[in-house]
Amino acid sequence: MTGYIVRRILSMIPVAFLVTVVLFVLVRSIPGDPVRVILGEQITPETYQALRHKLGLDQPYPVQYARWIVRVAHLDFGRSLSSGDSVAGRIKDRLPATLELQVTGLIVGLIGALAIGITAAVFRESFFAKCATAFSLLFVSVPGFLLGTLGILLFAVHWRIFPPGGYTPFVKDPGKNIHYLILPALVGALFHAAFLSRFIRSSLLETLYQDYIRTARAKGLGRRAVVLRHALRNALLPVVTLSGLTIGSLWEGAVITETVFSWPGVGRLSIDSFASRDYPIIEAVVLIGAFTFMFANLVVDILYAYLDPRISYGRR
Amino acid sequence: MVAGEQQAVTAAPLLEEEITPRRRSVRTWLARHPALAIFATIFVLLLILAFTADALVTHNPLTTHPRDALQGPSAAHWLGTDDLGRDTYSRVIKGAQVSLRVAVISVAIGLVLGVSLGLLAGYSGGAIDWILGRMIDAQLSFPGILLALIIVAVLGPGLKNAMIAVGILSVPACFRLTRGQVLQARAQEYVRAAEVIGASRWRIMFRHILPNVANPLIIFASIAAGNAILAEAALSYLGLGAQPPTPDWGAMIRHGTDYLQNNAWMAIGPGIAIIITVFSYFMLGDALRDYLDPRLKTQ
Repeated sequence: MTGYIVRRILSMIPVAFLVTVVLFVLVRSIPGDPVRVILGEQITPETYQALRHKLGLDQPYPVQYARWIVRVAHLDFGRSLSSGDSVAGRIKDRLPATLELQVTGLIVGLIGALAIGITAAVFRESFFAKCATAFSLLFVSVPGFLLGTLGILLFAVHWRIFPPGGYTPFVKDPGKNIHYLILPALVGALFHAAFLSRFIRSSLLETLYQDYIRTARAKGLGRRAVVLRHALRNALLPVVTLSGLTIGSLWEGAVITETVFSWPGVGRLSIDSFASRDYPIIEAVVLIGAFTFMFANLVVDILYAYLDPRISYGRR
Repeated sequence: MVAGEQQAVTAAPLLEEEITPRRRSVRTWLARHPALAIFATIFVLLLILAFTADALVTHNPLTTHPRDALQGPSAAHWLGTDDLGRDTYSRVIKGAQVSLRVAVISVAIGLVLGVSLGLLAGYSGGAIDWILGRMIDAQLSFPGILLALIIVAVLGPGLKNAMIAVGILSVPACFRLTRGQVLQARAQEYVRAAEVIGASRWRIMFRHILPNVANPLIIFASIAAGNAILAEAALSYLGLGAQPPTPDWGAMIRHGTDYLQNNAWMAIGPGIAIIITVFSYFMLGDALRDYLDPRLKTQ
């Protein structure tokens, strides 16, 4: 097992290297000179050269890349071009709001997906199962921003139950925080429920036809015990892999939902940074997103090998 | 269709024995694959809609009439008008053209890059396979929408560049699909046979292996088209895709959110259009999977 983990971690190195190189090259290819963005009106040839030198932009690209990597390794993402604040600090300020929204959405969505997926698999010929399939197919076809917009239209404009957007920190006013949270979290939850319930259903259906399930039923175990204790454990294995991929879609959800609901999280920050051409922030957000995805999938792979003894993690 | 029926009616006395079985087989086919029939029909209707959009619009989708701004649905304006007095129905219909272009061009980019790299990786194996595999892993690590936003920032905002970014997003899935299929095909006898008679590497990849991995790619294309429309709509919603006054569904919804209180149809109209289009692409993909590869049929 240790050998497998070591090899799995080593395999991340080339991918991580490629991610940083591609990001470095892409961000430097975005038109517009960061020095001009910072200096704005007060630009003279002298100040321009001085700042270029100070930011290290007069160095060749490989040197710039090496310096950047060393800084990033120390979690120093540089300073925002527009405000001059530390990028790491800006992201740290915004992270709680993003995590609150995304984690709530994912948990609610996962509970919904389990309920829908299990029921649709166990009662597979029922009317409910057909509705569940239709629900999941329909909701994966609805863009997140449209779902959010329709939510605002119904619950904020029409019925006035929830605010159309905004945010209050939990520590400041828990009640208000939750009031703001419900609508955007529901939008995320609906998407996750639709996406995950299909996999849970088909995975559980496959498991329910295995011999050991028949054996468990034959020895007189109740249906509930067989589904929950025998089948579900195995059916959820593929879903574990899927949850690694879901981490990637969380960032996507963050960008869209936070824009729709004016939620001051990291997703919103990155969109604002595209508008103000604040490249260090974009670079940092994308890098953090890519690395969380890689680490999530590392954890998932290790977890999978641990949960499923059939996976050989010894030497091939 | 109509012409065929007339022919059948006039020729009926002579050819009855030959026609009836064929008709029956069409009917059996339809009964056996209802989902494919339904969603293929919707797909064809969407194609017709896109190609005849200019004849189906009731107003010029780009001309502004400030005096008619923000009207609700009426006989003159079926889905009402936007803040500049443009007819929402006509813009939604014209938007079908934009969405079809997005689907075709983005998926084509994804297919060309994904298939050729996947063929190369799967057939060559070794170092080439390893390097390409790590590149695809790296791309998959990026949050998709942020990668698309950076690509559009590099190339400049606009529909064309949004389509390129969306096409690039679909490369990894296509690459992995093709590579997996090629690995399977490579072990088959017909590839060995081609190698033995001295066929070149390119000939084997494109003439022998590619046609045999075409079915999964057709299914992929249909689902990728739905995803492409979703992704492009998101980019346009964020203001980096289609630019005004292009009647793009995503951009229209973004614009409509500012007027939800006055005239929600500005957002609902294009919203319904996106849902119908993406849903039918996804369902067509599902139905094609059941038809082309019954082994994969979802239980």
